[in-house]
Amino acid sequence: MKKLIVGVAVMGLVLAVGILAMASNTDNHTVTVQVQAINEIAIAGGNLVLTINTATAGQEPDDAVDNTTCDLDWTTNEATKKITVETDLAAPTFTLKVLAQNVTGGTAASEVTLSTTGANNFVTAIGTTIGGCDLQYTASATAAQGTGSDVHTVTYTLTDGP
Amino acid sequence: MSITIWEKIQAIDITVTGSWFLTIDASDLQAGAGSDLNPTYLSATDQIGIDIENTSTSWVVSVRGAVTKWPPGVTFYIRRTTDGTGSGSISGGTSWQQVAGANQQFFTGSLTRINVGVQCGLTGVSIQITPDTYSGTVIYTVTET
Repeated sequence: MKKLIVGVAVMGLVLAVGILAMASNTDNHTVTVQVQAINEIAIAGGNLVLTINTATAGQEPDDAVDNTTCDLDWTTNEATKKITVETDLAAPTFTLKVLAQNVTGGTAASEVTLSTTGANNFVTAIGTTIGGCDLQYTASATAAQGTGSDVHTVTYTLTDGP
Repeated sequence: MSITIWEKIQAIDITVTGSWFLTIDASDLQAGAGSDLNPTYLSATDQIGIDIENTSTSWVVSVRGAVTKWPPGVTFYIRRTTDGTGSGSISGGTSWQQVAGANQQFFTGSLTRINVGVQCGLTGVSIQITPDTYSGTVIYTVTET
């Protein structure tokens, strides 16, 4: 019986030393970062007026060109995006074209003649990037078209696409 | 001898409360379209609370991170913002320190400290991070010294 008591005591001592050596404890918390889709596009420079009022005798009126007033900026954290452009003016008297110049963060498409027949590619190959370009507008008229005004609301859309 | 064993079973405890859920969206752009995301984000100063209890001696709290899915290029930091309350003392951990995969000392102290405040921070966020939900676990270990 005495040996048993001593044995239990020794086991208790060993257990105590063991627990003492492991005197630590752990707990934790989580950190969650939710990154949402970001697709922002904005026109800088405001509204633009193009005036066709010069010509060389014997030729059609000179084009009116502006590539300094308006810029387009975009930011996206998604891959495979593009920018399209369209106008709301269904039957313009004169021709209005737009071209992306000095593009960063994408690839310029060919110059677009604005129409309501559907959105046209303007800048392609956009993905997880910050980008921008100058907007070059060119207005053209023939002498036969006479005088007048077209008012376009031009819409740029950052959308899915290569 | 049996009384001694019982005292040692009352081992030091650490209890961590709170978590940090951060949402990053277009409102976090530095200047709208054409600009990048703000690179740095901070939680509330008392986002996390830590209690140290059941001890009659001094201790050290260490910290490490375990990542489930983490945004590339983003670094996670913590710092101790309050001393908490209690009979013991506390020191260290008030400067920002990066949380990595290996245990590193966070702060030290003695006896009981309740509701020690911890603030979290992120740096390195950019528009290059694709939309997703990323998460990790911050593991705190208290060890008697």
